[in-house]
Formats: sequence, structure tokens, C-alpha cells
Amino acid sequence: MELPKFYTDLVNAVVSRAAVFVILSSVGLVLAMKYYRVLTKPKVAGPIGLGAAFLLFISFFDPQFKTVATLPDNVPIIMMVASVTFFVWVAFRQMALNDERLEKGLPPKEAEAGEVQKTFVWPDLVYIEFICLILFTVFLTVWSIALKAPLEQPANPAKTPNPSKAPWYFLGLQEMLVYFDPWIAGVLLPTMIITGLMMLPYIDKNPKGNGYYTFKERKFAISIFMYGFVVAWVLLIFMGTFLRGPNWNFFGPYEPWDIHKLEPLTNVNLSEIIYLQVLGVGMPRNWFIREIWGILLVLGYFVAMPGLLARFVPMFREFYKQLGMIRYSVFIVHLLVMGGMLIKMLLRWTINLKYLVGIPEYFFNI
Amino acid sequence: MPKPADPLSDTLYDMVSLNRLFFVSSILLIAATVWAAWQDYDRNWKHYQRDYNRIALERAEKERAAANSAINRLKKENAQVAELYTNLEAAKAAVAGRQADIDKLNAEREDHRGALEKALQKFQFDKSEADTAKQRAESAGAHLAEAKEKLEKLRKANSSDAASVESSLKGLEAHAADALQNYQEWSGKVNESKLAFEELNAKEVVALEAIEKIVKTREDAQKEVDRVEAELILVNRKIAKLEPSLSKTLLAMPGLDFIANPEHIEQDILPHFQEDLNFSTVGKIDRCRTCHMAIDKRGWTEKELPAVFRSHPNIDLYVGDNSPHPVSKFGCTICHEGSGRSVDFYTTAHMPKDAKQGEEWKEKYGWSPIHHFDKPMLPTPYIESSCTKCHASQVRVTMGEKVNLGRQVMEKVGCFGCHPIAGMENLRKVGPALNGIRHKVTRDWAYNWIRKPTDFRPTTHMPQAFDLSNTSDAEAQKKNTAMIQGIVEYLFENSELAHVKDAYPAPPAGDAAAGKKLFDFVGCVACHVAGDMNKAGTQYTDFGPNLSTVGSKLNAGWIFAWLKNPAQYFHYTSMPSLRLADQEAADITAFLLTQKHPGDFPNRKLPPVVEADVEATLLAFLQSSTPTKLAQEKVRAMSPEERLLDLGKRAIGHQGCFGCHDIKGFEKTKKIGAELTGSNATGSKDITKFDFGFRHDLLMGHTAGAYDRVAWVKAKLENPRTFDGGRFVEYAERLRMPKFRLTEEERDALATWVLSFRTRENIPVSHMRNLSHEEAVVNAGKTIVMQSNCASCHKVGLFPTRIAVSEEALPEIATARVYVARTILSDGRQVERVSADELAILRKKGVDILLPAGTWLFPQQITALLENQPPVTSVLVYAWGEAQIKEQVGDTKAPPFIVGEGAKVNPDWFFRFLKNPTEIRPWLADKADPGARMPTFGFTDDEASLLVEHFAVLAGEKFPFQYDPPLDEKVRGELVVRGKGVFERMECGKCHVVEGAKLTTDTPAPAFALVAPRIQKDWFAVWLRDPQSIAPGTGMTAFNEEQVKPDEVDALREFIWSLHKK
Repeated sequence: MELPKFYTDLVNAVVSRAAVFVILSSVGLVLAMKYYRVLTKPKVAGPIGLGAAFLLFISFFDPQFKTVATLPDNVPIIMMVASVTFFVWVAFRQMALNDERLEKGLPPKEAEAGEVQKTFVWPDLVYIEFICLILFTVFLTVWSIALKAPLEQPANPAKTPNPSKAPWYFLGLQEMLVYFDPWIAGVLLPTMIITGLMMLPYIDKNPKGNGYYTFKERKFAISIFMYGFVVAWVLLIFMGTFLRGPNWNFFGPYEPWDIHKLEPLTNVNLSEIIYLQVLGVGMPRNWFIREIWGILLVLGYFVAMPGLLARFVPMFREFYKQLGMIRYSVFIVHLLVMGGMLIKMLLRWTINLKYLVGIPEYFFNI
Repeated sequence: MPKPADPLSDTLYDMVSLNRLFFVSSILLIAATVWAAWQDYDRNWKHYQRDYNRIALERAEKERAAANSAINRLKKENAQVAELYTNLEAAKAAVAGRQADIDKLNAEREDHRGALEKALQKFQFDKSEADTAKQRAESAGAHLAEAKEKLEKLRKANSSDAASVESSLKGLEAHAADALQNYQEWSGKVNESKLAFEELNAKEVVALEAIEKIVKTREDAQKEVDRVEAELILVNRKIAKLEPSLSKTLLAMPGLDFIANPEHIEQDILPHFQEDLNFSTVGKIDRCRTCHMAIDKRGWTEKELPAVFRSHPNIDLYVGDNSPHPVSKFGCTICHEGSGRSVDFYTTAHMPKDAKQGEEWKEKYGWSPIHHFDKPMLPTPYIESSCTKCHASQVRVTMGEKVNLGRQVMEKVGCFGCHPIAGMENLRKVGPALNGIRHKVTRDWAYNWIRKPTDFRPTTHMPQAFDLSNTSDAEAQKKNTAMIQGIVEYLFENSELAHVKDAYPAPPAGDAAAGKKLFDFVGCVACHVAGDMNKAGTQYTDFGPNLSTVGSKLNAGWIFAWLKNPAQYFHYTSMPSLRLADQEAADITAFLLTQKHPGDFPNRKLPPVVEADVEATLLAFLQSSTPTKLAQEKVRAMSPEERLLDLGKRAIGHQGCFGCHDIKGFEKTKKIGAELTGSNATGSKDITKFDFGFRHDLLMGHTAGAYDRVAWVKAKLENPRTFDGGRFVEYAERLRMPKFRLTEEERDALATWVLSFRTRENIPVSHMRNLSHEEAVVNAGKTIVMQSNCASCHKVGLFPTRIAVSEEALPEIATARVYVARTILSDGRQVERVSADELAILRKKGVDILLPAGTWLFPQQITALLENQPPVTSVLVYAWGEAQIKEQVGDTKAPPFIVGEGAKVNPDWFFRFLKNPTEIRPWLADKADPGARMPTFGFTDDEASLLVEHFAVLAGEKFPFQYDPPLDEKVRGELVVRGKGVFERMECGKCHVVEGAKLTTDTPAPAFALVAPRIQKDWFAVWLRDPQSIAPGTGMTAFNEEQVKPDEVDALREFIWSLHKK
């Protein structure tokens, strides 16, 4: 069986345009969170899930998709996508139910009995954990028999595979390397993920949602998390696995990986846009003068923006009041870095922006 | 999870359900574990080993049956053997009759046994105690002696310490005395217990001897029978090893297989070869024999056997312990490549020899081309490309016929003219110099020749460089025309010879018929073909160009001058001088002028130059290095003539014509092609660095069996421009390798040779084929012999023939004498040549020399070989083919055999002859047949002396000096007189010219006056007795010992040698 051409063409056309794909995904996420009460109802979610499973199933009739999806390296990604989807649904379903109850003035489901439940470590905890452990061992054993470890010849630094891909869990970071210098993508951003997670308890002091599911009472926190996890992490891993082909080009899921595929190399720095395209003069010889606009822009984003937000946007004004100067700064910088990542990616996809600040003289680019 | 049924339960979940879930999970875990163990038990190579054991057992059973029936036949047919068996039966019966005696003796032994064992133990323990006591006594004694010595010294020095030492001395003395006493006591005890034990043991010995005496007759008879059944016993042992048994099955079971699994991975560990794992190097390990279990065993050759279990097809040369390449020393992947450490059909990187085999493998083994492995196995047709890893020092790899042919083809077509190739830097350019082309051909001819050489000479090696697949569209053709016009213009404007004024002068009038005769007989046909332009010559007559159309190309003056002295026209020509007289040269010239091209080629003209095309083409080249505007200005500034000349120069530089031809102005220009050796060698460079263009069909995985490296090389040779297919490339940037006229076989061989270019691997010196001085001489000499095409006239070498020495093979070789060019040692090793000293050393080591190099082997000697222990199954010799002998015998005027020439002629004479040949056999020339003539090759001194040494080494002679002990003049005088008598009696003068007589064309044999300076003395005796063994077909009579008595040979020789007047 062959997939209908209009379908594969459509999917390829949408998905292989990274900007469209990411924006659509983000919009989808926002919509899903807006209409979560309807969407998570089994009557709605069921058919959506089945439809997705059906699309996945028929995709295997496409030779390219099948080749990529059945690689022993990539099977975990499929499992990850499926399990993330499932657990997100479970969580949002619980939230929807609880939020309804809360609106009616009822306590959350978890507190239905009216008191906090207590159970025994044995057998309620340990026994179940032990069973899970056994089942998971079975799963790992069967997996390792069914899909043999994809071992290759000894690594050869002179001959790297094309495409050269990081282990699946690092594909998101590898994707960022396309847009940022290694010191940002490989050092700064991962560090900020860790520091961001560390500071969470000091920033998020909202006691609501402890011990029970709720969206309504933690909208901002959960939305940010969903963006950071689903879009900036899972989606990038998905893209790295299925959409990045030879020479790290972007391919649609049904588009054959042609090693000769060429894309025009027309990326420009912000300074080039300003001096060559807008002003029509030559590039200044002094790097500082040349990059001053980008430097101002970045400084503006990280220095002026927090103040402006705290001053003019009511939600951030509230945050500033609650958190105080220091904690607000820490929080807002992390938030802006996370947002900046997406902004930079969008700029690359839309106006071929290479760097906002490009100082190759000092190996410093942003 | 279900809640507990009892609402008052303490637990959150229902325990019964949890228990059930636990039970099911545990069962699943056990099942998964069993499955994992089974997976290991079920590995492919284990199946192969089981299959092999089964087949090996079947074969062994068959061998046992054969051995049994052979014994039965012997029993029936041979009375002595039958008697052995009756003797055994009788002896058995006799022993059985005395069983009661044996039982009684054994019962007695049993009675004593308790006491005996006890006595033995007591003796052993006492001995042990005594040994300990002895050691203690010795040690105490030594301490005492030391202390005494110390005291002595202290006393002498009047030290105050003396007193304390003295006091301790007493203690030491007492201790030593005690120890000594203890030792003496224990010695006494040991003696006692020893006596007691010996007494008891004597009884045991007596009893055993008595039993042995009874049984001995039976055992002796059994030994006799065993000798008859030796083979059967061996087979039985083999079967016992192969037969399945409970313990073997148990040890191979999953879970127990870690103890001592009879199924195990067979490894050849090769620490000498280092494998580069990129971050470190490790010793090579080949596990191929894990599945290929019969690869090192003889006789597994039946077609019905699964391919995996066959013997190596060339087990005498490879794998076998006695072969030059034993598997324990070389492993498998050093030649075959592939992943030696893997034990799975896919991961070992097997490569089929063609698409058909690929399909077969897909079906049978689920094979697919391997990804992620840089060096998959070489497909077997190209395996010889691995030879040069170790045999790089040899110009011709022994037995490497395909890789040798490849090298030969490359030397012939001259790939090294454009491609830098290590080891081929110093070869002569394969085409003629073009510095005097103006005097040789016309512009019309040159233009049309370059355009399509095969139109004029279908057999030419000159490749076609234009109108190929990427330059055949209309636009490109216009540019091609301009390019060739430019080339012709450049060549003709740059041709000047010092010795020619305007044109070569016209030769004297010649007779074409006489010329034809000369052409046929004087030696031209050794290298050239005439009369049929389509006739491809043999390996030898293809050496020079086919001359069938040469009359439409050359002018009389040039041909005449060329024939008289080829080197004058261009110094590096292979064409020798035949020392032709003016008239002879004129006759041949006349004949060659009759050799006209039959087609329209002679009428083809140089088309008129189209200015626009020249300009456009020139611009196309200029633009790649100069800004467009500047290039246009530059072109405009030139006159039309200048443009054409400039284009010609660029075209020659672009196309690399100077790689094969000497062209003025290109003396220092670099070669234009990619280097085929070095760090990016074709045989090893990364496959992703090959440009496949749109030839996806050549990529591994697209076509079953396509090994992309081989496929690329072969496609390139077939159509050098194929990778431009489907691409839009500027004219000046297109692929430019010209197309060579090669047969499929030649392309295959050339591909093998090209694939042998690899990045140097670390082959240890001990594993390299290192040449001795003699071998190096043979090697270098062989090159000159081939470059001079000696073999076209002379039988220089013999054909390597593997002669199976077996009774069946005898008739096949009984008629032929064979010349042993390779010494074969009884341990199976072969050496090109062994010096006398080495021979002595080898003999001392117990290695017999079966066939020393340089000897003739007669049928009876071959028979003798069969009787050798261990029998030799096959020997590699260089032998005359019977056809060759017939050819030589039928033609008394054929140029002489020069095998063994080094043993025949004196080196200094040989050297002079090579430099300047003189006539030896004038009778070869007569009116009907002018006779072949040894040409003057113009060897340099180095080449000539190398050749002399080459032939000396081949004949096993010492070079360059040989001592001829002086004879007492009186004795010599007597010998000469006696020799003269023999000479007259045998009527030697009937054929040979003696002193004074004139050498004429009627003389059937060489003049004796020529003998002394030319011939080696010790060769004479062999020649006299058996000239046919040296030169089959010679007219010389053989003289046996009745005709010339042994003691007369020296006399005859001295007489003949005396005929030479200094």
C-alpha cells in the first residue's frame, strides 16, 4: 500500500517548514490548554488518540518513515511520544475533573474522604514497587532481545556518520546548536535548565495544587512547564529524530533522505541587515560599531525588558510585588532565556537571521 | 488496582489480587530469563558448529567403514595378516585359561595392600620429618659458624662486644647440637620405615610381574593387530571426539555453558598485526574459523557440502600449516578484509562476488550490505588486490596472476602519466615524443587521430579524450573541435628536431616485396602486426603499434630515418635498432608505405577554424581563473593565431597529453590526475570521498552485490565520464579522464590492481615478502625483459605449472621434462633460489631439498618424489609446455632458448653481446629467409649488467666471477692432442666450422672459434651429453658415454677451447 500523495505532500510541506511546524505546535498547545476540559473528555480524547494512532500506523507504509521509525535507536522516541501524550492526557483529565469540582465548591477528588489518607509502607508501597520492578525488568529483557543493540564499528573521528546524531535524550540540545554557539547551546542553556529547576521552590510559592491535580489554580506555572517540556524538550527531540536528515537538513516525515539535498545558504547577521540592506553602506571595520545594534538589542531584552514588564504588565507587576527584586530578577532572566530561545529560532526560520551579535573576532556570537 | 473487599482492611489494595499479579509477573520474569538464555544457545555460529560436527561425524563414519572393509579385505587376501588375527584369538584363549592364576595373584596382592599402603605412608611421613630436621640442622650449623667468625673478628679488634657474642655462642652451640641429634634420629627412622616398605613392595612387584608374564602374549598379539588397524584407531579417536555424549550436551546447555562449553569461538590471535581502532591499536583477532570449521582441512571439497564447510580452495598456498601463509601466522582478514572479530554473517561484512550471489545470500542468510563498516570483505574476484600488502617488493607477485595482469595493463596504457602512483614514478612515458611531429605526420592526420584514434587504428592504446558522454552535445562538440585544432596547432608550432632541417630526406628506392620478406623475418613481427588493422596481436606482438595503416600516416623519409635509428627521433622509445643496411631499410619503408588505411580516414581533413568557437572555448578556460571582463579583454587583444596557440596549450595542459608524450613547454608540468596511492589511496580511502554523481545504482544497498568501491572503479574504467551524468557542469570543469580501449578482463584486472593501492598498513617485517639480493635481481631483470619484449622471440621463461605428483598424474608429465625454477623444500616452503651455503644450513636443520632451482626434473625423478616421506602432493615448477617445445622443434631457425643462458655463456661476453650484438649463427640468413636478428636495444651499462646478473641468478650461477683453475701447460697439451682425436672421430667439423674455414650461410652450427670467449666450461659437458634438455629442438647431436668416454670430455673441451686465438 502506498500513502496518498496529497496526504504525504501536505504533511511534508507543513512539517518540513520548521517555523510553521513549531508555531502550529505551539498554537496547538495553547489551544489544548485553553479547551482542556472539552478535549480531555474520553469521548473527545479517545477519537483523537485513535486518529493519531491510525496516522502513526499508516505512516509505516511509507518506506522512508518506516526506515527511520524502526531503527533500534529511534524506537524509544516513539515510545516516549506515546507515553508523554498519554500521561499529559491523564494529568489534564484529572485537572479538568478537579477544576469542575472546585468551581462547584467541592473539595478535590483526592481529598474526597475529607481527611488525608495514610497507608502502610508494606504492603501498599513496597509490594507494588517490587511488582513494578519485576515487570520493568521483563520489559527491558524482552526489549533487548527483540531489538538488538545497534552496535557499529569502532568510532572513527575521521569518518562521522551523516547525519551525526547525539543520543536521543540530547537531540534537543543538539537542535539548539543549529541556532546558537556551542557555549550557549551546550553550556549556558543546559546550566540554566538546571539552575531553573533548582530555583523553582523559591520562586513558585503557590501552595495550591499540593496533593491534588488542578490547572485553574496554577495556570501560569503549568503553562510554562508545558512549553518548556513539551515544546522546548520533547518536540525538539522529535524533530531531531525524525525531521533532521543528511547534512542536518530539515526533511518531512515522508520525504526521502536525499544526501544531495541542498538548501540555499543565505543566513545574515543583524548587522548585515542594518548596514547592507537598510542603510546600504559597507560594514564598519570596527567590530564594536558594527555590532552595537545587536548588543543594545540583547541588553535591552535582558536588562530593560524585566523592568518594563514589571512596570507595565499587570501579571509581572504582581510577580514583582510577591517575589521582590532579587527573586524576580532570577525568575525573569530564566523566563526570558527560555523565550529567547524560541524567538531566535523563529528569527532564523523567518528572516534567516544568523546572529544578533556576531563577533567572530572574539568567538562570541549570540 | 482493586480495593480490598473488606472495608475494614488495613491495606489500601486487595492482597489476593496483588499476590496474583506478583505471581504472573514472576512467571513472566522467568520466561524472559529463559528466553534470554535460549537466545544465547540459539546463536548462528553454534548451529554451524553443530552442523559441522554432524557432517564431520558422518564423514568419519564413512572413513571407519572404509577402514574396516580395508582391514577385512586384508584379512582375506593377506595370509600374514589373517595369521595375526588367529594369533590374537589363540593368545586371548590362553590367557583366559589361566584366569584362575591371575585371580589368585590379585587376591594375594589385596591381602597385602593394607600393610603396603600403611608402610608407604609411614615412610613418606618419616622422610618428610627427616628432611625438615636436616634443614634445621644445616641452618643451625651455619648460624653457629657465622657467630664464631664474628667473635673471631671482634676479639682481634679487642671489641667490648666480644663478651656478649661469646655468651650467645653457647646457646647456638647447644641448639646446633640438638638439631643435629634430632636429624640423626630421624634418619635412622627413615631407614627403618624404608626397609619395611621395600620389603612389602617386593612382594607386590613379584605378583605384578607374574600377572604381566601371563598377559604378555595377548598384548603382543594385540600390538601386531593394532599396527594393521592403525588407521582405524585414528578414525575411532576422531569419532570419539565428534560423537555426541551426555556430558557434551550438558556442558553446552544454556546456564551450564560457562563451565567448559564444547561449542566455543575459535580464535586466531595475531598479535603481530595491529588493528587500528582509531583511538588505540590492538592485536588482530580472526574468528572466521568459528563457522568455517573445515577451512584448514584437506578434502572438504564436495559440491554438496554447504559452502561454509569447504576447505580453502587453495590450501597449499593459504591457511594450511605447511603453506607459505598459515592461518596461525596470517589469519584471514589480512587478505579478505571484513570484521574478523564478528561471528555473524551480517556483521562479519561478507561481500558477494556478484549480484546473483547477493540475491542467493539474501534468501539463504538474510544478507544485506553492511553499513557502518569501512572495510567490508573484498569480493573474491578482487581478493588478489590484498597480495601487494606484503608482496609490494615484487614487481610480479608470485601466483598473483590477476593483480599482475592489472599492473601490466597499467604499465601498457600509462595511467601513471596523469595519476601520481607510488612505485610507478620512474616508468617511461607510454606514448612517443611529439617534439618532431611536424616531420612525421600531417595536420589533417593529427587532428582526426586525436578526435578518434580507433578510427585509424582500432587496436591502439591511445585513449579517446573528446566526444565522450559528457562532451558530446552540440555545444561541447564545437568546443572539442576548437580544442583539437588548438592542440594540433601547438604541437606543430612546437616541433623542432636538431637533426632535421626541413623534412627528412627521401630514402633510396626500395622494393616492397623484399621489404615484406624482411619485415616478416628480420624481427619486426615480434612486436608489430601488419596486414590487418583490426587484428589484435598477442601479448607480445601487441607490444608495438599495429602497422597495417601506417602508410596512410607516415612519409617515406621519416620511416627510413626511424628504421635506421629509432632513438634519434625520440630517446625513450622501446623500438630497438635492427642494424639495417640502407637498402634493407629502404625496402621495409617501401613495404610499410603499401599499408594503407582502407576507409575514408586518409581523406579526412582538418576542418576550418571557427573563430567564435575558439574564442568561446578559450574564454571558458580563462574565466575559471580570471575575472570575466579581464578574460574577454585578454582574448580580444590576441591575434587569431595567438588565440589558437594559447587554446592549444591550455587544452594540452587540461587534458594532460604530456603525461604520455614528451611535449615542448610541458617538461615540468605536474601530473593532472588525482593521486591513487598515499593517504587517499583508492583501495582504502573513505567511500564517502568517492563522487558517485547520480550513479545511485552503484551504491551498496541499491543493487545486491554491489560493493561500491569496486563498482566505482569499474564504472570509471568503463566510462570515465559517467559520474558527470545528469549534472550541469561548465565545459572546463567537466571530468577529463580519457576513455581507454580495454577488454572486460583487462578492466577487471586493472580494478584489482587499483584496489591494491591502500594506505600503508602496519605489516610486520617478519610477515613481509622480503627479497634477497638474488630475488631483487630477478625482479629488476624481469622488468627489463618485459620492457624489451624479449619473450616475443626467445623462450625466456617457463610457464608456472603446478604439477600434481600422484600416480594418476604421471602419464601427463611423463613426456615432458620440467625445469625447476623454484626450490621446493620438503616442508612445503618454496623459495625462488637457495644458495649453496643456505642449502647446507637447511640440510643440517633436517630440511630436505627436493628440487633445487635450476635443475631439470625428469619423469623418473618425479616418480622418486612420490616415494618421499612425507609424500609430496604437488610441486610448483616452471615447465615447458609441450606446445612450446613443438613450436621450437619445428622451427630450426627460431631464436634460441635463453633459459639457463646464465649457465651457458660467460658474463663478460654476454654483457658485450647485449650492448652490441654480434652474429653467431650466420646460417640463419639466406635468400628465402633473411633470418631474425638480435636487435641493438641501446641498453645502458647498468641495464646490461643487471640483465646478465638476472640470467646468472636464474640459472643458479655465481655472478660475476667464476674461477677457472689453470692447467699445467704440458697436461693441457696432452689433452688437446687427445681431444683432437675425439674431435675427428666424432666428426664435429662436419657441422661446426673449424679454424680457418669461413663462416657461411651454409654452415649449420656456430664456429668453434667463437666458443672459448662465449661458453662456460662446465656447461660444455651437460650440453654434449644431452643438448635437448637445455634447448629442445636443437640440431646438436647428443653424445653418450660410449661415443665420448667420460674421461674424454675434458680433452675434447680443451681442444675446442684451444681453437680460439686471442
